[in-house]
Amino acid sequence: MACLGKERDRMDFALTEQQQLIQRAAREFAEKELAPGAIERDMTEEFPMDILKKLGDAGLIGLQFPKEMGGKGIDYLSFILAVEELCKVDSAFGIAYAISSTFTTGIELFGSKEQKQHCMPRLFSGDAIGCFALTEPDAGSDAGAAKMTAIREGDYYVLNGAKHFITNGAVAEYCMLIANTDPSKGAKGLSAFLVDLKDTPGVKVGHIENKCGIRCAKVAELIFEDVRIPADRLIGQEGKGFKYALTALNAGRLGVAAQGIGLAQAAFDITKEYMKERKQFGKPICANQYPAFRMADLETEIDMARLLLYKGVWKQQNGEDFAVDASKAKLVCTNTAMRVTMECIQSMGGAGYMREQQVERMFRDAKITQIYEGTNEIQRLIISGAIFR
Amino acid sequence: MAGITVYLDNTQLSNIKKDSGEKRLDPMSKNVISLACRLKELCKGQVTAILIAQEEDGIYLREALASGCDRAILAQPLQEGTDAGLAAGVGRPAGGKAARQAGMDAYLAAALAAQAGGEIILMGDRALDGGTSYLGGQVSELLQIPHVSGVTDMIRVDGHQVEVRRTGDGTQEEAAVDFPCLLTVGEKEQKAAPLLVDKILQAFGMELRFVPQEEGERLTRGFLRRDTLEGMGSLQVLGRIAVEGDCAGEIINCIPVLDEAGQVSPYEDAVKVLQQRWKERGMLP
Repeated sequence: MACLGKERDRMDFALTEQQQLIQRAAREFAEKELAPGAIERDMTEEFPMDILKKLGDAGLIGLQFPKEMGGKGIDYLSFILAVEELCKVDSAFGIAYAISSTFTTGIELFGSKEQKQHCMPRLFSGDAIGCFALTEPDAGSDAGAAKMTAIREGDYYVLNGAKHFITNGAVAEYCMLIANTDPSKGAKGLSAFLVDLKDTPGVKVGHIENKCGIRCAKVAELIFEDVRIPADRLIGQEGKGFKYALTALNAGRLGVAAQGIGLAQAAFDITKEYMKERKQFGKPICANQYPAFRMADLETEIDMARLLLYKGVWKQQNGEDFAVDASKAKLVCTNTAMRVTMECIQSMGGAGYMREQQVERMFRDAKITQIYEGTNEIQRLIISGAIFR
Repeated sequence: MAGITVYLDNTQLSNIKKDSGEKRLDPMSKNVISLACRLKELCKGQVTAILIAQEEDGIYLREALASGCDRAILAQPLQEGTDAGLAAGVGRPAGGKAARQAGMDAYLAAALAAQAGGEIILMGDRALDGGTSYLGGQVSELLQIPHVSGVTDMIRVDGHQVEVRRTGDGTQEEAAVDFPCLLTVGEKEQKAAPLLVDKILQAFGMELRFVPQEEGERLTRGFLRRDTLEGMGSLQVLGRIAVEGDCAGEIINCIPVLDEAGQVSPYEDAVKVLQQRWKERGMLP
């Protein structure tokens, strides 16, 4: 948006011309590169690293990161628009892209110059992807309860423990890992580390999840057994890891919200066209008031959710505290995705249940959006906490 | 190194926006840009994109720049009252507002092309009556340069000659034409360059030259060597001739009627000259 209250007497809901073209570039890329294999990837669960490379070649990775770091130096909304467009076509690929961006955000905000130089070039070129490793079997919503340890030994930290449900875990080259440098301090003893997953002895990819949705996103267990990493791989300061993680997650929540909007919009668009073509009792089903009114409600809900997302993005871009807005956007956009995809299957009848129409895949993809990056219950905790503090 | 000028179609913009909700170039304009970029590779030239549209339509030219054009000019349309249209369907009155506007675009397009100095001009197959390349014909006659229509491929550039593949009447052939020349692009879908982020960012960092209406009129008057654009060849005139002469079934294309001083005549004179020509051809009694 050119501005939303930046000049306080004016609101402008329009995208700038540059944002429009970036959005179109992402849409055209998704239609050309992602669409042809989307159904197959959902079945084979193969993550397309070749398409990631093409995404990098198209300049669509690193949109919001500074030019000095090798990014494009554009606004955050352009990135969100790209996430939405990719997720309309293949939200498993889209969320892998967004999660890698969450990792990059953590490095950008808190990493050293050397750490940035170490991983940014390959991330932005599409030659590598990143992941964010916080969750453990006993530390999901209660992320501060992470047990993985990182014990300092001379010029190294020694990592021991396991992370699970790590999106991109099986294919990522770089990881922002949250581990405990001082277990006696609980969450305040957590620190963040940059780990090269492929080149570091002792790092193993464990169980790769067989999921209901986002099937080509490689969600995996990461196992660390006496993994030694140089001390300069500590990100920022010891004991600040949990704070860094939550800060990175705030931006990540906007990405998941964009995923939700993309899923909802795509399901809606497919269903709209189907309803115009499909005839029963001598007329298109969209000519019946009940199904048409259902679509009216769904479109209105998508628009409402999108506006809430863009407001969160606007605050982020303008340097305002956007944590609560990110939670609201994540909550609403993901709930919208779930409801819209479910209603769209219903509107399409039997055809909606079949793989070829793709709406069922979007429905399966939508469910996880209500769970990861902080469950929607956690989002309500954040929002209510802000209301009543 | 040849300068290449492309004209983007302004007739479909509002329809596309209405259908898609987006301001985007039509497929024919994208074809024209693709062929221009192909020509650019062959002759190492620079491509200037011109669009006759309103000031808020700059995004179309940004898309053109992001698609491979090197420069862009946005020119406001001439005012309708200048009455400078030239084409009409015979046997019926003047083609209406759209036809007159298209005719005025021809004059402005020719004036801009003359100023841009491009040696090869490309435009799409625009016409009121479906793909007769009439705008290309008009502009080429105004500029007094050869015109090849239905161009589908660029083959080579050799010295001051460009060799193209074209279609016409269902056949395909190769044609070589010296430049300066005007090429009207045919219907064949070309492979469009993908929108790349770096190109988009570059496009927004480039200058977009804006030609407001007054400047456009001044340029056009200068090109036509006239003090005023009023009374220039009019659709109504040609329509009137057609009705009076009871002619039917023939499309009148652009005919820049020059008087003895080499100036383009006001329409009253154009009527007389045209009537005389058609009498000689047996089209009028």
